[in-house]
Amino acid sequence: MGNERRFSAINTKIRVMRSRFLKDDDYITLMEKDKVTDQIKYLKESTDYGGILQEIEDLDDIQKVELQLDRYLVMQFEKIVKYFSDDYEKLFKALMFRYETEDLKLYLRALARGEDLEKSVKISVVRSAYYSFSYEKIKTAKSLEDFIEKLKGTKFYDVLYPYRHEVYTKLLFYMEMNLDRLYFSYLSEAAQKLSKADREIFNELLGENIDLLNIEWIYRGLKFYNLLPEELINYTLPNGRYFSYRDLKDLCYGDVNHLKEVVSGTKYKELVNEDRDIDLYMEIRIQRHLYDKFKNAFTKGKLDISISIAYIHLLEFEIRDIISILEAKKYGLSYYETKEYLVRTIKGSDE
Amino acid sequence: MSVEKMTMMNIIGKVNEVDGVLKDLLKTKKVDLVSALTQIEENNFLFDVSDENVDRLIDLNYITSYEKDDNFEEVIKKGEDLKSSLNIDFDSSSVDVNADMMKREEIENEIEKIYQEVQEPKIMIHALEKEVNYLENFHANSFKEVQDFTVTIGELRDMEYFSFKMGILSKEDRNKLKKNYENILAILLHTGTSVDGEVYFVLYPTKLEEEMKRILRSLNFREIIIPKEYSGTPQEIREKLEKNKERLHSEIQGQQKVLEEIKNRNKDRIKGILDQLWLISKLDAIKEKIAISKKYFYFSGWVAQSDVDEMKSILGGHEDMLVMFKDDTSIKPPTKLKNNWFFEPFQWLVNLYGTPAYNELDPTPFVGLSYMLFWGIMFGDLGQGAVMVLAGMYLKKRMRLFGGLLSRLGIASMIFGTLYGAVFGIETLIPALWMKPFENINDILMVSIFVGVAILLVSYVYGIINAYKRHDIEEGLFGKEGVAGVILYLMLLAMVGGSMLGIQLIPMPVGIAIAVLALLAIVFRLPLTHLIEKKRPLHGDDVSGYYVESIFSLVETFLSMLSGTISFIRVGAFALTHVGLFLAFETIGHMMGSTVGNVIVMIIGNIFVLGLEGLIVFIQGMRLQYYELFSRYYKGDGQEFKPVSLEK
Repeated sequence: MGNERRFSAINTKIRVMRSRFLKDDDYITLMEKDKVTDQIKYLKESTDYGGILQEIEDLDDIQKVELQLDRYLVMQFEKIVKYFSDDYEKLFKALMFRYETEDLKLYLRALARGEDLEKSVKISVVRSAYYSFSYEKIKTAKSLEDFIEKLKGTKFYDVLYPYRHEVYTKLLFYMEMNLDRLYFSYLSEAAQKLSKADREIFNELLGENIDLLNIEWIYRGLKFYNLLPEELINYTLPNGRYFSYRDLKDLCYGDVNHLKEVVSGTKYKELVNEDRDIDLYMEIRIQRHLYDKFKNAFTKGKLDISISIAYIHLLEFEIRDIISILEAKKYGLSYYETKEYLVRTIKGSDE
Repeated sequence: MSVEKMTMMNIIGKVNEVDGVLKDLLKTKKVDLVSALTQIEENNFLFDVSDENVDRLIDLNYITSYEKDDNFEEVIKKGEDLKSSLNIDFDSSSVDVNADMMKREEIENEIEKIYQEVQEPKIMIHALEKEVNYLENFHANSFKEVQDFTVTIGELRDMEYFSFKMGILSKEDRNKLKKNYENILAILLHTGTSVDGEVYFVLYPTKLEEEMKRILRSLNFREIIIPKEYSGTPQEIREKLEKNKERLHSEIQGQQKVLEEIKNRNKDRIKGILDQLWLISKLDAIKEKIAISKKYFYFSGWVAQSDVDEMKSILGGHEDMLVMFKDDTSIKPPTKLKNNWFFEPFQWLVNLYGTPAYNELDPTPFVGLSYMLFWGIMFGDLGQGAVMVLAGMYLKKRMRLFGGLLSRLGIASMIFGTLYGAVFGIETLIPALWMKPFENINDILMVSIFVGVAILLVSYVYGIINAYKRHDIEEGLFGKEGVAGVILYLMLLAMVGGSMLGIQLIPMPVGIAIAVLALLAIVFRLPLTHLIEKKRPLHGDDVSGYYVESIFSLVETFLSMLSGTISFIRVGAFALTHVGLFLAFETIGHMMGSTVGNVIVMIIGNIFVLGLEGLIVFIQGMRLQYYELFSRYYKGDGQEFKPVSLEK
């Protein structure tokens, strides 16, 4: 099937779906509200998320809002997937796999903190319907070993199994890397079957994401975890866009200062900008970089895969920002502090 | 040639007789089971209160539905297990249904004995097979690439300053290692392939054990542990593995012999028990519909009235039984069609549409005759008819009813073939006893309409009788398929048909007057019915709505009479098509020029006509039956009589 036929309907539909996102004014109004209840009320009454938030009675329940928005995300996902078949459908299913790995990471972190899984982590049921592991089963896990054993039969078992005896402090780093590696190799595999034009678009979007993650890992591995360089390089993801294996190897065998120096000479220099605390802001800086990338892709996208992929990610960033604003209000952050934690920059918010 | 009269048979018998009684009843294949509990609730288990019946009456208070014995499920499972582990071909058709039923405890004991005996060798075989698998999966090819090495694993194990590991690496991870080889203090060697991937050998200084472990782990290295007993060179290990495998195989064979011996020693016993188990599980499935109390069981089912005597004599063979027959009950009896051998295949056509209701006329004979008539007219050919008869006889073994249907249609073809003088599409071989359709086009079309009218009239009669049996005055007397409808149809026929043929069958004014009366009857059918039945009010809630609908339905009545009649013209048309198609093939045959070519074309033509036109005519015939005729007289909302049996 040619791209004209594959994308003409879905891209039009997605443009309409995108138009339902919050506007800059909405963000400003949200941040200006005095209380969380007012914010949630505003979301309920004056935005397109009103429908999905309708059943929320307790206007203080941020977690519930998060779950509902999550449900919204999955619903949009389902709508989009319906337009695709074969290898394209598989690619979107592979994208879904990321939520699975993200949720597993949440569990692992809770486990490391010694929390009771059944209470501490709530995974959206809509999401978990798509998962290869059984949510009901793993939430009863009492120890790491138990947890891994309960994943038997899924893709996760093989990659987590060697770490079952690891101490928790290092473990999280190892496991997160392994889970991400699993996701990206799954995704690249799915992407290789797209049409040539789409494959290139996808590899470009994915390539920068891989670069950013590799840089982050090597930075953290060097600074906090004291990993062997040999280990570190083995955990990196292949198929980065600007950082080849050789470049990464150079970073792994150097120190943190060397890394900062190298990265500040590339398009990712914002990551190591010393104006603010690097450790604290690295995550959000990565998100911002990706956000700009996807926003750009959405605007420029023609009859190809960029619009649908970008939409999904932009929606994720939107949900993330909404939740950040609610959380910020809950912890009493000021208007300007709140903006620091948002992925987007909001026009007109400085007046 | 009708719907059999049914009667409800209710049985009360001693609980310990239940298996025997059920088995005897199932063997007859003449009972359609009904839930006994519903029958009891509807008070159909009525019997005289006399001294001998007091016990039964009291026991009715403790009645429940029959529940499966869960313990026995276990036994049945063991039976299945035995079947698979001893490799027994169980054929349910070879079960001796006349064998005496064994006690359940007895079966359980018997099976337990054999089962225990089988367990030991079975577990052994399982363990041995697992070991063989392990050897084959892991080690068989792990040393393939290093066969000529002279170093032994034992020597490697004994090294003081170096350690080694064997394990599996993916290609991608192997590449990573290769690219960073200069930084890694280890020697890596590809030694072979296992089921899970490529096997590598890693040699490193023992001092670096911890680092090496971490590095290998980051590469998803899956270690293979070589058991202590293997300590020679790769070649020696390979030989030892082969030897071990052989040993295991011969051990497995030994155990299989043990099983075989057990099987042979107990052959008849096992067969007997499996038969019993099969019977019991069949009976248990059926028992879900019977009811049971402390001492008695209660059974209900439909039987044909003609089978009552047979049932009585069968049940008479059991001790202390109370059997009751009851002709009318509140539930609708199932329909058991009874037709002689000639019409039986046409039951298939009728059931395809719907089983007649219990109080409906069985249309099978009428369907049979009319379908054969249509078929004959449309597909009259002596030779092809004969082919169909033969094909039908051949198919009869596998598809009894369809095969029978085909041969009967073949006979119709042959009869009309003789009348038309057609053999395999050749019109010149024998003279026509009646006429050649293609030379008398108008006649054949007229004839088919006359035949259609006659058959329509018969179907009106069927419809009126069915309405009478349902006590449906509205449809039967005043409906458009009832008496009023027939009168209207006859008047129209007489007037329109008569004027076409140029003869006056009935004076015009009289005809019109009668037709108008019939029309009025159809329009006012609801109030007229209510008048006769003395029901008030005469109409339903929506009086004007009723008349609007009623008057418009007249249009439909006229249309359906017209189209229904003309519809039969297709019968004649297909008779012409049949000849026409052959004419085309004959022309092609002549064009071939040679006798051989001519014959070949005629053969192809015959196959084509028999296959394709045969199918079309078959469908057109069904269309006439289902659409033009059944819609006038047949509802087909009955329930088929489904006797329980031990076979399915």
